Amino acid sequence: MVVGDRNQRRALMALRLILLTAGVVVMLLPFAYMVSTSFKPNAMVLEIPVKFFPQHPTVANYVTAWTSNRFARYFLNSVVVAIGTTLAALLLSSMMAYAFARFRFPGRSILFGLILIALMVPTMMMLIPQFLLARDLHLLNSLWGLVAFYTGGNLGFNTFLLHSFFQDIPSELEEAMVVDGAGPWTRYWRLILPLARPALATAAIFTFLGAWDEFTWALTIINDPSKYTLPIAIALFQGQHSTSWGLVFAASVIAIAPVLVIFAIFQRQFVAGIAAGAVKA
Amino acid sequence: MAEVVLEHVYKRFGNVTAVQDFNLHIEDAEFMVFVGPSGCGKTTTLRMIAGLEEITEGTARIGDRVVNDVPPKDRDIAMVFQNYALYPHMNVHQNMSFGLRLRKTPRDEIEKRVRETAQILQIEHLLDRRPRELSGGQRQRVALGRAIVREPKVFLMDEPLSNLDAKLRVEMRASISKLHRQLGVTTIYVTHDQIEAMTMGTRIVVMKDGLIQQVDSPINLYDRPTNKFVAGFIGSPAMNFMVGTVHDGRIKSGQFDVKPNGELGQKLAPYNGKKVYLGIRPENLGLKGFTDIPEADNGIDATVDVVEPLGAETQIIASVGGDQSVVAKVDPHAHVQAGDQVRLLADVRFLHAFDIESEHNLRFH
Repeated sequence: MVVGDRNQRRALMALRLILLTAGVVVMLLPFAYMVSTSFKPNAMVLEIPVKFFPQHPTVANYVTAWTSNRFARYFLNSVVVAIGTTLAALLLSSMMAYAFARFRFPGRSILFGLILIALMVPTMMMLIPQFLLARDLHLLNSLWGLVAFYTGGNLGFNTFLLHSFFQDIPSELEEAMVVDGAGPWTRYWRLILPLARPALATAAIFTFLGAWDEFTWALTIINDPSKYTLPIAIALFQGQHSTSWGLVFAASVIAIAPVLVIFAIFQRQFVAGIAAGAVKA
Repeated sequence: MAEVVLEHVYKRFGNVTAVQDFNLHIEDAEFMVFVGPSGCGKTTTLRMIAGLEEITEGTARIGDRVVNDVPPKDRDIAMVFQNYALYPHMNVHQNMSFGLRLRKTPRDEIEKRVRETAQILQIEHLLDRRPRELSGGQRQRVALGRAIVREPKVFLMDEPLSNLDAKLRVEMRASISKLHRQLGVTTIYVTHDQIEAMTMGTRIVVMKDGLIQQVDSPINLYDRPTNKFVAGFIGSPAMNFMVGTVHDGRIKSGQFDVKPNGELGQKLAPYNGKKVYLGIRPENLGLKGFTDIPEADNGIDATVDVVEPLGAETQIIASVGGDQSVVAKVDPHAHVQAGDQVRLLADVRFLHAFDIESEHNLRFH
């Protein structure tokens, strides 16, 4: 009986490993292909059979990508937009989430419901109304226009995420602070935010990633090439008739680097945040 | 330091009345305990004094100031919570000094008070630790410390020991009593544990269903309970209640026939022919042949169901007819076992009788 169990366990373990390996391969292969191609000279890019370790590796693509088309400028634009969006979205959504989680006011559940409904509207549907709004607010062709609308777009999900986390912070802690003499602002800054670090890290990663990768809205409102962000810049490397894939992939690798850095910084708390959310849901 | 006065205080949550017509005058430096079963309104009352709940009706005074509309931070109170409520992201020092820092107390004053308090509570070596690195007892001390450094007029404690294990609870009980004597600050202490109430309180408020049942010193609550609820709630094991009929100054049933003396004897006169509850504490019962209580109109015939030897005494649970049973603390050397027919003798000086309807103690009504 016991022996049978062990064999069964081994078989299951093997199956699990095979499936996981397959998953990892499916996810990593395109990434590996991108990285390896970015180090290949242009002539070798489309060689068959595919070589994952280039025979004559070169960093020429990186040099060209970084120096051409004001790529460094686009990179900086993206950094400004993504960081600006992350800070603004986290500040506003954490304040909203705190209000929804801890204060009783008329219309509270209706407002929260509206936020959830707004989450379900597809982004593409919002493109034209948002464009008209941005035009009226004189935010077209400006990085602030990107920050403002990316922030708005992230508020719903972040508020929802943080709200459920805040609700689980024991109310006695806040009452202890009330008795200690803290008003709502002090409680928000010095109790809720420090305790919600895992949830904030999760929200920060999602928001940063969303703003960093966003293409459609940036393409829609930005005309001035000096204000392009990375996704547009990378798209520019793809010509109408021919594409230098080495260049595109080198640019993409550069574009991914900050995301990896952000993830590395917040990784531990990010995982904790995801887990906490999972238990709550 | 201050007195706390509650006058005709009510708390309603929608249609539910959690606290009704609560009147209490807590003297300066008194240790007042609110005790009662869960849902009796004791914590709600404490939270109204703290300012964490609004008072629906009535007034609350701390010192000579009406505090109904004063926010908690301006009431000059400090509170200790059941689950400690230590700020998890701050170390012990920061936890204790937080309130003082918010009040812009000078830095060296904060330092001095935190050190002194930590010394009193023997937590000096823990000042740099985070709450999660502390044991339950240490956390409880820090929670007390956080209240003490503030030097408030009133301490409010909401079941502060209920999360500790039995041994630690006994230790902390003594430490809190000692602290109270040392600091002399008015303290209001909520608990559901009547032993905590009896051992710590200068006076005790017994509550049930949002109503005060009795306010008195521990020994008076024990000796002179005003009604059946208080009589049954205070004392462990609880007082025995048996239904009997009054007959010429005696209370009788098939199994017993006892004649209360003095005061209670006279109070029984109007109840002739009526049923009453007879109340006897387990410690006021003895086993015939193994007790100093003389046999004189005080016998109860019983069948032993359970014998629990505790060493210093033996507790027996015995049935006395119908579905009624009594607990008696008897001589540990008494030879008795389950199934025995025994005669228990009641110490008639300590008998109580309660009205069947109102459950008032006939001695005092």
